[in-house]
Amino acid sequence: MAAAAAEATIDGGGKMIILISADGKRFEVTEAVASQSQLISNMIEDDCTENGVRLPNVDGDILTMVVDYCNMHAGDAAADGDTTKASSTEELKKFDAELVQALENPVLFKLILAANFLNIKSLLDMTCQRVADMMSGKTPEQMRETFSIENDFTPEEEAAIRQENAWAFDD
Amino acid sequence: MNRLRRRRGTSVAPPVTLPDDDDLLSEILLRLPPRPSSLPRASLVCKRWRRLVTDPAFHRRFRARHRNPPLIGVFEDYLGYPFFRSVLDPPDLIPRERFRLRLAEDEGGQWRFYGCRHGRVLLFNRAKNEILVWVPDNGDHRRVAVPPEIDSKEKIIWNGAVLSAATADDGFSSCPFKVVLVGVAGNNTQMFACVYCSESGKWSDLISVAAPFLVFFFRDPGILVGHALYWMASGDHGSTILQFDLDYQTPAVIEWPSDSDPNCYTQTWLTEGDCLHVATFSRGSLQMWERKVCSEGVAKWVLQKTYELKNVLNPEIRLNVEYVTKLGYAQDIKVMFVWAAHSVFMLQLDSLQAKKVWESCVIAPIHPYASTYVADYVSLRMHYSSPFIYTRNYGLRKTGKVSRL
Repeated sequence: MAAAAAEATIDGGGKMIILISADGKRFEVTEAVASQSQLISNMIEDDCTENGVRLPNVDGDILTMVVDYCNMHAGDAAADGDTTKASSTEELKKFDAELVQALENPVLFKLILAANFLNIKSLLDMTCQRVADMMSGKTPEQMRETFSIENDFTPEEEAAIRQENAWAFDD
Repeated sequence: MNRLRRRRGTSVAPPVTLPDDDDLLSEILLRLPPRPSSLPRASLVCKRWRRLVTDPAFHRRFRARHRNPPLIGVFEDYLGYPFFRSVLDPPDLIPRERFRLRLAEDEGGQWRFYGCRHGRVLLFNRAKNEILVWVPDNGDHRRVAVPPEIDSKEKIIWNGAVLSAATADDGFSSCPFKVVLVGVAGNNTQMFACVYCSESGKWSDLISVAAPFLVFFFRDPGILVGHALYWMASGDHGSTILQFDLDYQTPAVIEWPSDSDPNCYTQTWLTEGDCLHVATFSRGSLQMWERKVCSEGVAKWVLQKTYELKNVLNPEIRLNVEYVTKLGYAQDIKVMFVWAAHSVFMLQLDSLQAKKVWESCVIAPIHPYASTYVADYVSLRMHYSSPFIYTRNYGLRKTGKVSRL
């Protein structure tokens, strides 16, 4: 999305766009902020954002977080060659780390869906990585528990799977 | 406020599950760490996860995502028999049998282990004048006859290296490979190299360079720095370095640091950095040399650091520092495998921290093996039309039949 985002920032970073969440909350953001979403960036290009962008899949609570994230990262996408970028990169890292660490499962999953729907690659990457980190080092039983997953294997199937790579279950 | 709380409550109420979307689940599972146990464990969570993580296309993406594979173990070279040994703790400890090279009955002990790189292993059989390129992860192997002019009399192969010819989408093991063999010719006055390319299935001509003195052998595996391979060659006047430029396919000779210990028992490593480095290891001291180009454009060796190992190593091997023996070197992570006091240690070159990995009374060469291993899935293949073929039996039949890599 770099080319489209950069263009929007240079040409019309000041122009505002209204985002409307599923529960009717309205967020006013600049084009530069909004166009980090590839979905919205495409809509800006197609000139169909005048009446606000309705996001029927995204709750207000989640959209608040998405907008916060995009606000923080708007400068990041636009400011190549900016000398202040080094320090802001550190701040961004800290912001991102705090954001994902603080997330509990239901919100984290919703944020993944929102990042996917809005097509915000960096946010999708970060949130998916957070879930993968939560899986890491856990046994299959612990993973089922963490993510409320039902074991749909028969005991025979489970035994066969354990057998094929028995070493991987050797705690 | 109450309204908001209630609203929040109702929006959270539906089942708290991962996204019900195969693509998103795959995106998450792709981000599991490249530890050997990651995918087998995920495959036991539920049928859906199993279907996703056992899909060969997922494996290609997983390997492509983890382009710097972890060191999962080593191959120990016991008199021509390569044995795998994990360096990881459970549950990532892959058993020896998983990476077993099954040789034909009359071939035991004939294969010289020349090294591992990019997921492949290179072995050479002098009696049959063949190389064998083996992919331990999936058992694929290919045998190739070396050019007949290399007769093991006038021209003798001493070492070699295998490397990927390109970077494939799935990491390395599916893309074409190259093999470079090096040896001596002309009554030890010449060093030569020749290159095999798997795409063309052909060997290059032998390319020779005059040796600075009589060169007898290339003991250690070569290292890859930039677009060149380097081997240390040993002869009647000490050591020298054979450089082989992969782009121009030209060999060149680089002198060994002249001030380093000429003792023939010197333990030596070529190590990678931005440029060529050499570590010499003898009589309890470790010297790090760097090849620097000075203002006149002439390259020379500069001694960077000297460590008295008895002062820097951890106590476990410090007492036996005089008897430390080199076994192998993991170039990518700068780890030496050394033997001391009936144990094998991993010695991190940067920090000089040593970690005991196992006890052993046998001093055998070690070839570190790095891989993003995705494991085998032989049972309960779900939702695929093609039948799964059990590929673990990669015995080398006497017919010498060549399997497709």
